[in-house]
Amino acid sequence: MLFANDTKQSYPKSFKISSKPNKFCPGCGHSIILKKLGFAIDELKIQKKTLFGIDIGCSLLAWDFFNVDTVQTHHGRTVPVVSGYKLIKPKKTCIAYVGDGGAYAIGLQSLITAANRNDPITVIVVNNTLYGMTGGQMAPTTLKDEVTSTTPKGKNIEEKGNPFLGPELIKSLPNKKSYVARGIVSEPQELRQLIKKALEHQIKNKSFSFVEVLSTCPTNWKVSAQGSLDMLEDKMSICFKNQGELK
Amino acid sequence: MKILLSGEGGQGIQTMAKILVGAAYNQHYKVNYMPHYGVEMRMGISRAFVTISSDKITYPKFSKADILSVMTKRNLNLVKEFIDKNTKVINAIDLVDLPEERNLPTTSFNMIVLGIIVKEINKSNIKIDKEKILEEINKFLGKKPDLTKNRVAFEVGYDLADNMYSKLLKSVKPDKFEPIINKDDKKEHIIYPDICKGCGICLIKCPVGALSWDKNKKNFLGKPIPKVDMEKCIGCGICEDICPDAAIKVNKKSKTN
Repeated sequence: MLFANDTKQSYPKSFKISSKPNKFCPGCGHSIILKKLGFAIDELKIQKKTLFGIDIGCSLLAWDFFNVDTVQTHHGRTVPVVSGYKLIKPKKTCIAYVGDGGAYAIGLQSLITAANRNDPITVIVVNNTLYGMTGGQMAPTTLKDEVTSTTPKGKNIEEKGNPFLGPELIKSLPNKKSYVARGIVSEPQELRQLIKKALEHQIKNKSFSFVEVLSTCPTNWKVSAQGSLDMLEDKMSICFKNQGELK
Repeated sequence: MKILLSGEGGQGIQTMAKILVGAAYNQHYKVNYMPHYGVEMRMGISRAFVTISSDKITYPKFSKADILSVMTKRNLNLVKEFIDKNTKVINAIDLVDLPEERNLPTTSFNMIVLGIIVKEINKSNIKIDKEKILEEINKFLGKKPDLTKNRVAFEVGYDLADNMYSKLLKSVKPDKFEPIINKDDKKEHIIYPDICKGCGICLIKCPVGALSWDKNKKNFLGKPIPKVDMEKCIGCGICEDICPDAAIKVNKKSKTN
């Protein structure tokens, strides 16, 4: 690869170079989040003691993204698998990297239980308002009047319910030690700080940390790069308005 | 006869295979068709394992192909393991511009390749009738507006001139991508075309509008990549920060040097 012979790198040291270019679509928010996660891992120097758990969905395309231990689990079961691993190996830093379908639909009870138990793990949820890999179906986080392949006339929130607010739910749990934040991919510097703080919270305070990231899906939103950033900043930011550190 | 069709997702590999298998089945051959995809939504590889035989077929896949068609350069590297000394490689990479030359839609490229494959099959002891293939094309693409053009494209492929045909069998080396380096006395801006996917987020995020599309240079997908105007560039590094594929690097000279 052409990365060789460079002093300063544009990519994290924890990247697995042979798997690049990565498998995500052009303009996908996943690659921005993973890049920032890689920088956070570099800064904390935890590459050799990290477990990276991924879910079913577009997040599984990150299975060879990093040079760290990686486990791929059943749909929605990443959080309990990573929690179990942490029980056996308490010195490891455990990251569960899940999509909004895996975290808020099929895996919600695992997520709430882990947060309530104060399992010392970090959960990163990528919210792109739909199920990306299967063709853009409605997810719990789909916005009001958003057109997806299963809501062709726009989502009717009276029938289907309001967009799901994950961080607010985790924040309202009685666990006082958890760290809850919401980031956005169009602010990469802030996102990097939030992910780094979440990992530090896991390591230093031995507590649960949770970051939801508002992400883009140009393929299933059927928009250009400009369109995806407009949708992110105009529509998603209004619906999911509490950003930054929540708790 | 073991045939492996390979290309990018969306080029119509599976449609080609279904048409080929359907036509052979209607002529009472034993046939098998096995699709093979990547997990990606876009830019994934797509392969189809097709076996046509007058005897029983025992296993759907194979390790060495008799005919191998390659439609993009990236695929050539990925299917090398299927080539042995008896494999006929149909190297359709150079024919990408042929549909435009003959006033056909670019999506009919797969039908041209199908025509070449059928002609190649007919050189062996298996004979597939051209009319049967056209019937199958009607069946699969009958509802699409470009039906007649797809039929024409198939005929173009089948009757490909000899000088074009010899071009197919030449071996092609994969593209080499060099980093594009722009320098002035204060800063350095590097773009890596081998990992840039051409999403265009950097163009939108640039605060001074220094980036624009460079239509002369292509990335590994054959799409245009950004170019930088060094007079406008202030070296802030926002493009490096937002780039999803880590394909941009901005170096700034420190004040002490």
